[in-house]
Amino acid sequence: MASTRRQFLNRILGGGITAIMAYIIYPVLKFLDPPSISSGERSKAFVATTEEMSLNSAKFFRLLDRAAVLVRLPNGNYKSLSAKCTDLGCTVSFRPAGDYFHCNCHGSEFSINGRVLRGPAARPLEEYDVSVVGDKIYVSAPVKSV
Amino acid sequence: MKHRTARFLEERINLGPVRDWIRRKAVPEHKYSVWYYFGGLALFLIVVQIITGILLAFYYSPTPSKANESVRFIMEKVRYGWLIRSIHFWGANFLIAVVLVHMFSTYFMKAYRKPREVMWVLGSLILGLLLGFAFTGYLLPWTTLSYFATKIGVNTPRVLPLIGNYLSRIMMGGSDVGAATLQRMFTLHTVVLPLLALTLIILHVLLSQVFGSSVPLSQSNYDKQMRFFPDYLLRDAAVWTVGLAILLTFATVFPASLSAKVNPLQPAPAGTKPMWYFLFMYQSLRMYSRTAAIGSIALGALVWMAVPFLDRKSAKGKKSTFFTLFGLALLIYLVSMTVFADISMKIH
Ligand code: HEM
Ligand code: FES
Repeated sequence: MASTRRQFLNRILGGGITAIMAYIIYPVLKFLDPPSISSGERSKAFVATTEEMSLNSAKFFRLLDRAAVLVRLPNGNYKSLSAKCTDLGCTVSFRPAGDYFHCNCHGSEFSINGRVLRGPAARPLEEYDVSVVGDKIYVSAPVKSV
Repeated sequence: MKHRTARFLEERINLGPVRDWIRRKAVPEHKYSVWYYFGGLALFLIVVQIITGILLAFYYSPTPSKANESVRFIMEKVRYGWLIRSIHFWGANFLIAVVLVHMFSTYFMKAYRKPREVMWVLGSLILGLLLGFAFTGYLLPWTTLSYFATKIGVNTPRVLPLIGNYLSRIMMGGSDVGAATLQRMFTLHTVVLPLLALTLIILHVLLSQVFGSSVPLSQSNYDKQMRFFPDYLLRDAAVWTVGLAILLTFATVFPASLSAKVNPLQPAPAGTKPMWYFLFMYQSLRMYSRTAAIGSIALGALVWMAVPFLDRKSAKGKKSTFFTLFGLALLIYLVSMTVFADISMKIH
């Protein structure tokens, strides 16, 4: 009988210690997880002037704290996309000759509309809105948590 | 003719047992004894890393606007700054190489067998922490290569189910590599990892003193021994001196370079690759699906740590050819993947 009583008490003690450890570890794990900043940052950025952008050229800029790119197409229109490769996040490069984006890290390729042409990336590059006011080009993205 | 300090201590505490222990301590001498030096050499190099690391921390500044500049300041303005940084850089490479030799030599001598199982587990964990040091230290100079290599490194775990995203987020401190990541890597590199590593290293070395050096089964009919003090310790010191000389030669002849500060808006350069000790992972990730590669590397590491408990034959003092072959297979895999990664990168 004595040993079952001891076992019982040991089990309570063990359970208690485990519960206390969980009590300590849980907030630590949560603390380490950075809060998502639902960014009050402006989602609209002035990127370039129209003179700056020759046909078939690209300009990289920062939007919502990420790399983004503005391209002037051969037909004169503008296009803006996230420049952060959807594979593992490297900044993509613009290939003017082929009208596409290439990622040097693992060779993913994206069309000028952001569609995946070649893996390993699986998701398209996010597209942003471009507006031209006078000679100023603005790009805006929907505000969402980063 | 006892020294005054010794007399002072002796009048207050009983040093008898310590003196007896030092006098009795001996190291077995046999065909493979040379391999014993690598553990001591690793310990020496850790001390070098701690000293040079603390010195660098006096000038280094972990923010995107100052990190690269502060390292350049160390290299160009601080007296002997280039030397301290070069020693820290080469020391990290040497340390990992020496620890790998130490690990494989104890493996093939089956030194992990009873009663030293825990030493093996501790040693494997220490190697893991050293790779952690190397990974977190790599970002600190804030160069294009260190930025994108870290980006790939911290995003790779995302393929893991359940914990992948969490792991990646807590390493980055946000959704992308940036100021928060640099601060986290610095804190890990200079506070968290040193405390953890020092604790495990002290335990590992303490146990090595409790158990003494093991003797390989094939050498069990040895009868020679060498006194630890002073005979073996002097040899250890000679090895450290040679190690330091080689380290200083590399640090002065091939000083660590510092490439340009990263501009995250610029496209990632071609040929972003990790340091040599991560090449086997890099190559495995390229050849197999990412989930399969990460899963099998994690599983492999667990099996490797558990070897003393799996190898029942060695535990009973019998020859275990299977585990010798297992170690050889792993060694061949690591070496060939590393060489392969290096060659395929040169071709590209
Ligand atoms: C035990 C082993 C350690 C290893 C393997 C290690 C490894 C590394 C590596 C690979 C780098 C990047 C080198 C470079 O590109 O210059 C680095 C940088 C750095 N480490 Fe360590 N480290 C260790 C311990 C420490 C300690 C204990 C401290 C300080 C308390 C420290 C402080 C620093 C600092 C400030 C830098 C940035 C300076 C620079 O990049 O040159 N390290 N470390
Ligand atoms: S990060 Fe772009 S292809 Fe892997």
